[in-house]
Amino acid sequence: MGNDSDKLIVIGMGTCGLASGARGVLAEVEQQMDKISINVPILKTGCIGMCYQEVLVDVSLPGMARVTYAKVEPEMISKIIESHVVKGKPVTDYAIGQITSNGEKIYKGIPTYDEMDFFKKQNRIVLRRCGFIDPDRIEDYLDSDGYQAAEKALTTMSPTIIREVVKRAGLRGRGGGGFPTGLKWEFCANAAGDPKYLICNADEGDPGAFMDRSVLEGDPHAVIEGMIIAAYAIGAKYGYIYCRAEYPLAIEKLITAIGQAEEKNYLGENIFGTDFSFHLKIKEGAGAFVCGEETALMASIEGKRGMPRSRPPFPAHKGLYGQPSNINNVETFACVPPIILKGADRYAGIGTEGTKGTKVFALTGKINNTGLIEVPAGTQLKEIIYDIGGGIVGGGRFKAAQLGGPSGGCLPAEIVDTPIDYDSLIQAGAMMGSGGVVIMDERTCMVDVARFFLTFTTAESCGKCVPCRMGTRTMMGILDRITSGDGTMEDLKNLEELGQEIKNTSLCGLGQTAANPVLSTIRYFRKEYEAHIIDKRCPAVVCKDIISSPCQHVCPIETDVPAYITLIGQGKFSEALELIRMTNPLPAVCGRVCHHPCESMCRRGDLDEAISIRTLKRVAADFAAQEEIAGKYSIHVKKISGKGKKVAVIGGGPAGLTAAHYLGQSDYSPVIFEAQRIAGGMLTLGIPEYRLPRDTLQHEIAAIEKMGAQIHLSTPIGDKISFEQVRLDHEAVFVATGAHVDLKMGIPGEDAQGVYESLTFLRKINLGEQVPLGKKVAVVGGGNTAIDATRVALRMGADVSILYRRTRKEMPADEMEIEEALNEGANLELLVAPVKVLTKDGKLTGVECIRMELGEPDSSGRRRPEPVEGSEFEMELDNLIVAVSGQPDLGFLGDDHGLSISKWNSIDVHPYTQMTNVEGVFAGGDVVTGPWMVIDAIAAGKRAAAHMELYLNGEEVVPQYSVTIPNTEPVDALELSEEDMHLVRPGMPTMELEKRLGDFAEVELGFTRDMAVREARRCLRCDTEE
Amino acid sequence: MFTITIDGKKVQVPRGTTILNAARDLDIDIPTFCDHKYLIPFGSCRMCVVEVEGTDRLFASCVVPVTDGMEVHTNTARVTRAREAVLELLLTYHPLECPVCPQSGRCLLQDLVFEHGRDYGRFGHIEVEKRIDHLSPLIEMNQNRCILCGRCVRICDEVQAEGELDFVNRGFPTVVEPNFAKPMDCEFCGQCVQACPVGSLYSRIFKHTAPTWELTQVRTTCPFCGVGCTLDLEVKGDHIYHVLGVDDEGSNNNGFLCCKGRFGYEYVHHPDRITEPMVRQEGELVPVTWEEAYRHIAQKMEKIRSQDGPDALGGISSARCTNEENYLFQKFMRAVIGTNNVDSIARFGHFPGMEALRKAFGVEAPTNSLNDLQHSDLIFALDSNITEDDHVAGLKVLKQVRSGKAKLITANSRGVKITRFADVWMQHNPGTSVALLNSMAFVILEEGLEDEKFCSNRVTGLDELRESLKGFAPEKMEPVTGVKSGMIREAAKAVASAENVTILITLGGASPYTGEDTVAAAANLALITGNVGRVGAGILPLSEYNNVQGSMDMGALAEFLPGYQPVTDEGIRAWFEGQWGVSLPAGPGLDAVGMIKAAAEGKVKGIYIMGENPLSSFPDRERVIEALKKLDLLVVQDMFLTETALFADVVLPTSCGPEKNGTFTNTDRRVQRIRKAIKSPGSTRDDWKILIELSETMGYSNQIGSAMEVLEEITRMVPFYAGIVPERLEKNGIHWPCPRPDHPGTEVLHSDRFPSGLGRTRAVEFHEPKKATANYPYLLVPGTLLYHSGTTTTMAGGLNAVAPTAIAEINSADAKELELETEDWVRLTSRKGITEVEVKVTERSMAGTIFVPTHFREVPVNALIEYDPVKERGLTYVGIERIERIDVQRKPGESQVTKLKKTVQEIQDKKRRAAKESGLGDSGG
Repeated sequence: MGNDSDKLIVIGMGTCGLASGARGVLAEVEQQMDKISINVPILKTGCIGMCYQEVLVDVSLPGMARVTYAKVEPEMISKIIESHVVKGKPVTDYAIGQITSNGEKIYKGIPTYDEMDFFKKQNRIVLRRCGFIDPDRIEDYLDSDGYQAAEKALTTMSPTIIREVVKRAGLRGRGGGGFPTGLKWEFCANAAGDPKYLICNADEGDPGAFMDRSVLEGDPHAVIEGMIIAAYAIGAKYGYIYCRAEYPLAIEKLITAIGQAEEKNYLGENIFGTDFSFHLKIKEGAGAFVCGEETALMASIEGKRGMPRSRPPFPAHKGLYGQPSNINNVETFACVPPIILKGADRYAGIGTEGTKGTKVFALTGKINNTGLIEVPAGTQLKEIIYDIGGGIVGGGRFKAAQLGGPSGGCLPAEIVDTPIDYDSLIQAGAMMGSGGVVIMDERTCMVDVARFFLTFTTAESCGKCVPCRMGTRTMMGILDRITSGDGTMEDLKNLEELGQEIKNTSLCGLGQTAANPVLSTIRYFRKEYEAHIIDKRCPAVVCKDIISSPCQHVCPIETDVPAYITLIGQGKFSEALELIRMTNPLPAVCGRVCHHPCESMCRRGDLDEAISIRTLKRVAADFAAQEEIAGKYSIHVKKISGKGKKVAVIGGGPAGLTAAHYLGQSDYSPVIFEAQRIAGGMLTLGIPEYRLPRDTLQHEIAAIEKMGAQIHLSTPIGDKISFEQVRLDHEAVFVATGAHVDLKMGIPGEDAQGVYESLTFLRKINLGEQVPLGKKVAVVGGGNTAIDATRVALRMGADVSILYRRTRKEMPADEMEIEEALNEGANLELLVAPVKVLTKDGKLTGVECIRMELGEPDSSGRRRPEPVEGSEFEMELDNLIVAVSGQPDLGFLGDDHGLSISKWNSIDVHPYTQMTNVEGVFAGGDVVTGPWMVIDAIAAGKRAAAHMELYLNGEEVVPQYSVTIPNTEPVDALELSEEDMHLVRPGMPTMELEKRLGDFAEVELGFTRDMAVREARRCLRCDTEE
Repeated sequence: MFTITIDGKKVQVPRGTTILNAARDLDIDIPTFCDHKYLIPFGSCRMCVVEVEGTDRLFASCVVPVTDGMEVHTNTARVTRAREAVLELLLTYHPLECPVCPQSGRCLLQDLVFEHGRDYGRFGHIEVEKRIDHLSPLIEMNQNRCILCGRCVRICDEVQAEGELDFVNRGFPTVVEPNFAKPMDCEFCGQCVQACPVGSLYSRIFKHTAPTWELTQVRTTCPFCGVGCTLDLEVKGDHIYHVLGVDDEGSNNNGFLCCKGRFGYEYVHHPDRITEPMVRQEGELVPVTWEEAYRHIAQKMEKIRSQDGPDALGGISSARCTNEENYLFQKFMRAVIGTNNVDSIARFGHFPGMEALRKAFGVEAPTNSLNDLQHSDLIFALDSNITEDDHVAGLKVLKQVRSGKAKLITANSRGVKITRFADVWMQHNPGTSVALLNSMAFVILEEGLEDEKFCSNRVTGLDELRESLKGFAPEKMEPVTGVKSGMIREAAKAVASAENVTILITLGGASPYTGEDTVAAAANLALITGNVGRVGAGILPLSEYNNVQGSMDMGALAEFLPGYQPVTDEGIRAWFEGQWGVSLPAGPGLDAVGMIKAAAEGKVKGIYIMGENPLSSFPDRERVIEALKKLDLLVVQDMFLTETALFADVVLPTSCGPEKNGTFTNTDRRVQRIRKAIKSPGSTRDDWKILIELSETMGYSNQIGSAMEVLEEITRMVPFYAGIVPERLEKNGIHWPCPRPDHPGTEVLHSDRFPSGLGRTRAVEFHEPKKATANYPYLLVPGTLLYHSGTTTTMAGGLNAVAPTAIAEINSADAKELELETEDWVRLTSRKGITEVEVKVTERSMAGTIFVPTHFREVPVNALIEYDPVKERGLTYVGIERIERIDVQRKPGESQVTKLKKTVQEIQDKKRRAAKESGLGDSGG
């Protein structure tokens, strides 16, 4: 196999590598080689950038590409050595990429670096040696052009020419300020005074930024060489590298590198035999963020308290020890040698007009590929997130990117195509900063993010100037108030004003930018602030003080989930039901068909799987019903006295029923006008019986009737009784008539016979009407209605294809429903869109579709479907069911109702009080929102009832917002056994597949008592957390 | 020069001027908290923001230098808004305890809030609890009120070079804190207190006593050291409550004060003040009326005079009293009694030094003004503990040296503050200053570094000098001075090569008592290097007494009539006789030494002492006691019943500085006013008034009704005071010589010629101090403390809290040998006497020496001291025979610290009582 010394094993030993266990891997490599008596040289490099893949081990055999193995554990070593090092066969299972530098041969089955998403769009100039050389060996550096730029500069160029070259290259300060480097050097060069100082700012303190550290750890000589050239260009005899003490490895590498450079006389007297001398020292910072500010940094080197001072005088004139000084950061210096060696034009050819060259970013947060990247300036944010970064962790939605650390700002998804350069970022309210990019998803609260960064700057303010010291603290106080639900809109205004004042009047950069995270989040996420302030809601469910538990907080009706789950855990089903009924008159319904936002936010879900909150609600209702039948329990119903004011509810769906329930509880006399012969609205007409048995629904409607609410069935308003009359006859009216009119696709032939609209189709089926259905059926759409129509059609014996224009990932329908539809035999046609209904004699014969492909991600991170030209194809069909969307039918209102109607034909209301613009008329549910979720309709009904009550009492109808708190005395958490800790979420027992076709019996069977109790015991009771 | 426009007004200012200062030139008021005239601009408060045309940012005008053509607006809506925001933030967290805040009424925050008159409340009021320091003596700190302008921190560093205060913590929790968060333990100059724009740092003596708006300011001159700081006494009724340094154009102190000037005024209200004249009857001092007292004195004096002649009477005048009083005192002795036996404590320190200057230059006074120090590029401080003895002058030295404008060379046997800042510190053996100076002169002449032009044009006696220096090669002097020859050579070369050299010497209590020779040798150095007669170049022998210069100027010297006019000069005498209407004695009288000696021998039978306490301040205490006991008449005129007064036959109670009018002449010849701020207690009378009344009783009428009328007479009698008429002193002091009312005064002497034509160098003999023999192994180094001036300040409770008693300093090597530890008590035995004192082991004092402060009654250092055996005039170093540890009865555990706390407690209690009595409740904090 040739000489072992021709081979090379490379181990990433930067801080990220070490943190991931590189030492253990190294030991294992040495041990394994000992075992089989080989001695392949081991190269210990810095970070190559793929921090998310650490520990990284590369193997290079003579003449062959260098192969990179990722996430290497010691157990994998023996295989890599045996197979690859010894036998020359890479372990393709572990390998993530390979790279050649001199035309080596490429292995099959392993992507080259150029093919890897992570590297494809990168242009590594500063990082070109990181991960490829041993930072402890100056020879490695020299072998890769090291110190050639310095030699060229010192022996063939004058300081003036060097400055000109750097100016022409367009290099701007990479520490974040972006001041033109060549110009800065010129100021210092022209300043009178001797000696002059050159300082490298390696006090990288931004949360989430580690560019400088990686460069210092991986390629320290590059920084030293850059400094030698800069020192020569400005005439500095002494230099300091101000490195934070929290970077021990970087300091270690620097000490070694400086020692080597001194030994080779790249530092010291008469460098390269010239008259030029330069001495370099390391000064360790003591951990103050503000010491990254140049005047504070210099004070710190001088041994003073690290406090900034006003400029002028600028460091170029009076800097360190009162002498002319020049400060640049690590990355800036590292950019210098390539500019000198390869020329200004080549460097200036990269990037944008205003920002030349490349920029290194540290990518962190909720992104798949965290690590260090270097891209040409002007690269768009979305390229970084989706192409290089591999998108959001767990397929989540990208919400915002925080750029520039505590001085920077948050950019929202809407401006994801912002090119990253100095000026665009400033304009967008962020800044380049040193290059930290923190990616945030939907579960990130932007108010909390602002608070986090402000906490940082508040703590790191040096305390010198009033606006920064007291202003940030005051802003903190306001944010604390907002995140605990005590904020006011006045606070929001004050935040903005004060932020601006701090910006305008602070002494140094830290203060002048301290408000940026707050100002930029207000600018882009004002709604989220308002949600905290007005609704007392944290949409991302982060701000502890205004949420009792995430499940309760995100529930539109604030169901006291932890409490009822605990009762179920104690086997107290009817008590659990009574508790649920305090906030929800339709528990059995919701226990089946709610889209359970609670579960998506369940903390247990962060560990393994969310609690089956919905099903537990269902079992509470079901088992209580059983007890009721057994006569052991009866639902507690508070009867209406009949003396209260009469209130009309138009529409007997979930919104109307709920409003009637709560109005009745306050002893008003609600009268429900229902157009159909059966109450329940969309619950009856839209949802098929196999999901929601009619009896279950009617049992809960019966309780409302039992309370004393009147339900007038088959009483459509508009025909016999006019809307006007209803208003006259009642003290107040709640309109909740739903959205039962289908929307069309807008393609030719849609009116052909055989094309069904999904809502109409389901309504007819649900009302027991006959609907002729052929064998070959297609359903257009990806929502729940589409799936309902599909499964109904399947039950009617059809072969059903679902046509959806995006991929399954994007389908809005409940995942479980899609799964069941497929189980039941549906065929899923993805990336397909109908373009034309094929007809013969006005009758459908099929549909012409076009294939779609996903284009660039839009602001939501979803890739937009775009038609593939020439990919049209035809499908033969007997029926086509269109499930696109629906809208309300407002014909019943007559002509002179005076209500404000939206362009979607829905009624405009105040979003919280549900009050319309017409005296005494409230509205809620789908008639306001368009087709939407059951629980939201119930919530609208509840809110309407509460605010109608205000109206009926003659009080001003103002929103009654409050933070979520448990509805009852908190139920003590269960005592859990060791065994309980290991319980897993049970699957939902369902009806056997064979039995389903032709039958509308309920598919989901619910939990047994035992299953329910055990499931309840998985609850973490995060509501009791302090 | 740059031209800039501010608010539409044009002004020309030099490059480097800040916008703020340019605006001040235009009388445009820009508010600021952190800016301070004498501090490096800090830019922290952001109150002074302004708008500059062409930029969109606001600039802190205090730190931004103007550029040519700059257009500035100081009162736009944006600017106002920003300032209001700053005020609002400050106020949000500022405790609103104005009713109990000592700064209320002159609080800058309060003023600016009123001025910006907005209803504050966007953020409400937020209480924050920080530390309040109740433990530091003199100064309290309430961090809650602090707005972190940093003036205190910066003044403590930049002006005081103390660094006692600094910022601690980061961000909002930042506070100003004394070192290690302990109670303040510093020079207690109180510069921080005066600089504090709010009530965060304040005098603990002042707090809770009087509302600021009820205080009246009376401008006067500090009565303690020779610097003569201008200050405002803040009084209400007959009580001084507070003192502020004044930064007047003509003042010496730029508004700075030391702990004595700022906190030492309490002695005025000391309950031990005597308020009635007393006459000894049957062995007891019994209160009498003034007339009785006068009659008693007159009768006794007449009797002595008639029996033994006028020269059997003598008078000791005061370096503390005013010029007018000194003038009247010597006039009384000469014109009324008819003797030249009149002298003062100047005889022991200051006068010998001044005589040396007279011999060298022709004038017995420092050559330059203190403000001149800012023009020196080398300061040579010889035996000088300037920051303790003449504190505020020391600040000038520190500033000049620390800003890099001047080199500092010190020759000090004891490590003191300025030695820390010295470029060269020659730690010579005590008493070898002459040898050291001669060595330096030797080097200069040997190496030909002298200022040839100056020497040939303006100096005589060079050959004599050259000859006399032969034996003083530094190498030879090494064993004597203990200073490495190389260091002496380095120092000599530095002095020779500097442009403008000021030589500082402290005369009086703190210095080794070889005043005349030392000053003479220093004068040689100044002459050969040409450092006389220019701004920034000269000799400043400084005094630690406020008016020692004035007392000499006024003729409180046995051999001189006022204005150093020899009593032996017939013409002069005749002129005085004409003016005073009497005949005057012809021969020189007895000086202080002579009077004591003569009294002890029974030749002098009556002594009249005004404002002096020889028992504690004159050397050889035993001899003084012996002398006083023998007297037929001892009249003591003082504020307190001093040790000396206990021997008196008549005691006359006097008022003190703040209670009377007059003038002082400070250590740089500046004549300054003092003004009556309060009424003196009981039936006390001003010294000048007593002298006039006593003269009347004895049949001589001065025909004078006020202190200022005395000054008018002085201007007639003392030629170099001729132009210093009372009206001219209303604003600023004037440096003498000032021969005419239209003469501006003279800051720099000898600029063109010396009064006698040429400056004279002369041989100065060196007498090695009494060797440390087996009999006298230790050398006594008596000295002063920063916290006290004479014995008066020991009557000020606050200062006593800081420095309650004498603590001798002994070098650790000696301590080891003697088995002594800090807080041990020792008995010191000299040839002359014994005293007992507590010791502190230190490195500041050299091995073989023991430093003992001279202020404390209970430790009479003068008991150990003797006259210079060579001249029988000045004093000499004293060998200490034995240092023995003694057991002093002390309560267990009572250390200096507990004592100090007790004292502090006492002050507190006193304040509280006083507050209660005056109806102001104590509200804590």
